[in-house]
Amino acid sequence: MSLRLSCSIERRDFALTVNLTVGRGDVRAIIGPNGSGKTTTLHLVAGLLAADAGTISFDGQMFDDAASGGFLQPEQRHVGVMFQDNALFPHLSVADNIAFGLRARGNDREKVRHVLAEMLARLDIVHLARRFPRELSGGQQQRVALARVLATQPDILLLDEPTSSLDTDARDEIRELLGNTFRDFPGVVLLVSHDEAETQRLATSVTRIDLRRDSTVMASLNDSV
Amino acid sequence: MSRRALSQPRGIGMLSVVAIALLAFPLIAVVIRQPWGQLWESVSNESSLQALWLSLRTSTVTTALAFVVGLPFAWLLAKGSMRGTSVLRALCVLPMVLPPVVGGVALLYAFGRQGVLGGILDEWFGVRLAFTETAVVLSQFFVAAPFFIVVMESAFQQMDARLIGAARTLGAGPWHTLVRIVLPVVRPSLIAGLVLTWARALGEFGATITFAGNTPGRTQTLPLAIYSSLEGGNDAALALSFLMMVVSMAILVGLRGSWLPALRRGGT
Repeated sequence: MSLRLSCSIERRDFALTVNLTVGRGDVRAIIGPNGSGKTTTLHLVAGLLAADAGTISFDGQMFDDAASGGFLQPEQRHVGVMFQDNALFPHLSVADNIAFGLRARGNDREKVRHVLAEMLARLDIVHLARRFPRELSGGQQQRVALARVLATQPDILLLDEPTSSLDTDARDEIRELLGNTFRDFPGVVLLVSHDEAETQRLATSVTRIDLRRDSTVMASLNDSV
Repeated sequence: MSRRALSQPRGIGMLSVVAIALLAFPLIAVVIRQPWGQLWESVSNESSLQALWLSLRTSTVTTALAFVVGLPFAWLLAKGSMRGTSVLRALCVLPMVLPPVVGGVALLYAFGRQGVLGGILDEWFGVRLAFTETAVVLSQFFVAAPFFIVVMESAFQQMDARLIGAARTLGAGPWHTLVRIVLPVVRPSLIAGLVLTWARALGEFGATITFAGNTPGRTQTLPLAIYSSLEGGNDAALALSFLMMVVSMAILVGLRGSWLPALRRGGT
């Protein structure tokens, strides 16, 4: 039971090859310099990008198969993404941000209310429910983003530099929160970071992106195993 | 003479006066020469009211049409990866810089009775578009819709793409994402684009008179009525011009605040 990537994607001056297998319960950190394809890897898993060659699958379900043209849309993958700088919906309140995925997936009113209350309590943001993203601190925004992602109970959790925009205090606080979240999380976690201390603390395994620069940037992500 | 402020380049004040004189003075002249006693009579006579009503009706229909078909096209231009996008964009935005009368000629040769498509419509379905109210709308659309498309394309491009990614991965389909996330986020540009389009359609003259003609009560919009009464030498031209100035001013006042700044930034 695992997430398997064996694929590549090419852009004009960039080529990324990924060979990666991450099992359930594993928290895999992906580290590498800027522009090495960390975010691209997450977007491939989420379905925000399609691979040019190869396959991506999860628990035997095909996400992306370049040869056959098969491609599962993002909303069908049960993937939760915490984007860099949160990407909270600016026109929605904290409560509506968190409830967005539940409503989009067609849950009834009672279920939405129930999960929303649970998430607000779990992430200690009950008092922020009616606020808007612009009224929140960086750490608070990160809590809301995490609540929004966890509310839909994804199988795969993708985090893109979750603490890079925070000050030191908030960073420690969010790291602790993420550590607790990962401990209880039954699925697969991919954590992108360029902070070694963060990955050491949060990840169960680490994969480093190899980078070669000729006329094009050649990046490859391979399991050490 | 030194003022306690950072000095400006010498002479810009004088040059600005020229600009103000050329822009604002003609408008003031319309007010100065306005025969106020006859204003209500000129504006409220049957042909003026017909022209006003036709103008309001057609420019609103044009704006609605721009929204329904222009918005998806703007989205395609901003996000689509299809080939030939830049050629399509250039072609569809060309009417913005084209003399409107050329637009009228183009419409005539496309949808007129002798036109490429108009001939077929007439022969097969008995539908004649030229010199009808539909022709008024088509003329206005041809000239005004590109403004809306350009504004919306820019808004879509400048929008944070991660918001769309977030919505999709949270389980929203493409339409749900467009309606619940994209449109609310670009709302300031959307409103500015719609109002601009409406105003441009309301003022349309060249394409309309060429393709739709100038028949009172049928295709004579307010700008055409102004032109006709000016040719006829009566004061109604002044009164109707004043009426259009009031409407335009109302738009500008309505647009100030959050909408016009959004347009100035060219995006959200």
